[in-house]
Amino acid sequence: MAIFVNKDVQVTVNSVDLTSYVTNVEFVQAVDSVESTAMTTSATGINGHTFVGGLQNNSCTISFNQDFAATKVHATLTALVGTQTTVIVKPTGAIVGATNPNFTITGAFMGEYRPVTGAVGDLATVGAISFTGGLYTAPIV
Amino acid sequence: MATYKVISELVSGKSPGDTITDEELEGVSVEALIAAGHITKTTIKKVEAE
Repeated sequence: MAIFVNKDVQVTVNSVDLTSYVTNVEFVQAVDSVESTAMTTSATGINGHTFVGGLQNNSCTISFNQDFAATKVHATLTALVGTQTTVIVKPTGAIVGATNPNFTITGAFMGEYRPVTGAVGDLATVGAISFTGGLYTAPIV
Repeated sequence: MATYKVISELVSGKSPGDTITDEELEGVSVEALIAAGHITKTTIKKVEAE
């Protein structure tokens, strides 16, 4: 797969396909850096901090165009505030595979939802929603 | 195993009228899906034995 332009990134939140409302998505796979720097027996044996990997600290931040119709954006997201869910982001609409994995966070927590944002004349949007925590996987099947 | 009827067109991989099981919904907030109007719990009618 060559480089490409984001046009059909597929986004599923809580098993609901919200792709057609998504305007921006940032999926972050992260692990905490836990400092393990220790004294050394040699005066020249240490010149910097050392770290080991800690807990996963994944997140996914998504911006949406708003839709208050039944079963659309608002109905889906407002029901998720304060809960854990699964978020899946696929780079393109093509079939899942090694070059198009399902980036997944299970147990992602949604703590905040901003149903109305924007200035006069703006398109009605949802403030960037952050899903934090949970476990990262990227299954290719 | 609980089953649910899909009632919106946005449930991933399903169409309205399809059935979805709690196994397929692992890791998903079923309560939020019901509250948002995406699925409804399937009721099973008991058949009286004759």
